[in-house]
Amino acid sequence: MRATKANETYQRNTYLSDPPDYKLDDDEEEEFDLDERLKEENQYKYHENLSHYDPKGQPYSYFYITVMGQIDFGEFQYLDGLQLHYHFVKGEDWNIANGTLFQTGQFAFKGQGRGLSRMIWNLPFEITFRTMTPFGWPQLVVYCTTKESDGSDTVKAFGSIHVPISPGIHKKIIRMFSPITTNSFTEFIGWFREGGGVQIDQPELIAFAEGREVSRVKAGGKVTVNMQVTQRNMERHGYITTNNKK
Amino acid sequence: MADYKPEIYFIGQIVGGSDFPTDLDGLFVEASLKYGENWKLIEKTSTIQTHTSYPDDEGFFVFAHPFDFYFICESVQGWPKLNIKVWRLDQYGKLDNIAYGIINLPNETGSFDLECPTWRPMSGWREESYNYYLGGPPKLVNSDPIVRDLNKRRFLTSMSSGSIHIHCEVLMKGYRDSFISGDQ
Repeated sequence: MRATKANETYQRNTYLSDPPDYKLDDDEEEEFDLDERLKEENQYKYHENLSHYDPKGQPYSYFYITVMGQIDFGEFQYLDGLQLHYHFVKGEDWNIANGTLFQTGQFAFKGQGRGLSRMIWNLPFEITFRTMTPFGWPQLVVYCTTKESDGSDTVKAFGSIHVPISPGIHKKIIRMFSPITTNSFTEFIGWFREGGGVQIDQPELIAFAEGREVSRVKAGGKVTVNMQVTQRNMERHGYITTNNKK
Repeated sequence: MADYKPEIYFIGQIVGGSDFPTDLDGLFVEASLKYGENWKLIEKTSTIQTHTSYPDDEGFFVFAHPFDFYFICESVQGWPKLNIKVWRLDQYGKLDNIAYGIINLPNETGSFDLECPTWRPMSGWREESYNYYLGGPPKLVNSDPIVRDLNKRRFLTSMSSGSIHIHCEVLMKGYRDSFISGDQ
């Protein structure tokens, strides 16, 4: 409301951008304190609600790789009733931000119909790695065990693959191999069974290349894994992992 | 000011099922969403139950049940998964839970055909012959081992069952601004 006559009483709102011809009554001038008006102006301008949040301006240090999915099923011709274990193996500079590195699934038996050839574990996994270097990129080691009649577990098959570097959905088929225990008799007959029945303490050593020169294995079986990879901050570190060149 | 939070839409349908060891019985699927605490589902229901379908000549069951999930995502951890239970309705009208499955929803934009293999628990010859003659396979008393508590899986024995086919289209918003991959 504007003052039209100097001696009229009215309800006044204090506006900082009043037009220049606004006239104040003499006795009302004391109500205004210049310092107070300046302080109010600052508060209005720098209030939190008005500041602009820009996610691109946030600082960063690590890049994150999230690997999730399921180990679906295995196809083995001669083996049945296998328990699946998986283990993620990573370099030293990699840390886990969330999730578990290893897990064990159930003992799966082949079913009827089309399921006759597949033993289904359907074991889900989800893990997030945090690192600053791609050296030591994680691998997924998968191994299958059975329970012997004396109750002990023996490893029947191994396999390992690298986590894909491009983000998205990847359906991977891991080809499995079994260590062979040979003695001269079985070698003479030419009898190599799928599933050598060797006990190994650290299955994750399969992911490394050391010591392989002296081992012999028999190939057999496949395990199908559905791996989904999500990455964060990789472009900021300078790595382009998609085909889309922007 | 929530414009910077990544949002994701999963639009699709539970297409059908195949290769289940049921001869002429009807099947239906109950699917529920499982997601992390930093995900917010903008919708009232997160559980789906399809109609009961009888198989065609090839043994394929058609559900064609659409879903439309809209999430606001504050963390990549806890990516949504569909927790599937397959139920059978036999000729005597008995309802039975015959298989379980879990599948991760896709993490990139596009159109996807997913196949979720399913399994059912197995205990011994007694339960198997009961199932063969009377129809009633062993079931999980507690559904934790499917996805909530995977440490319990190592004590289970299972038998493979059929597959559930799901079609899913994914739309992402705001992922590129946070430097998260998936939205090409």
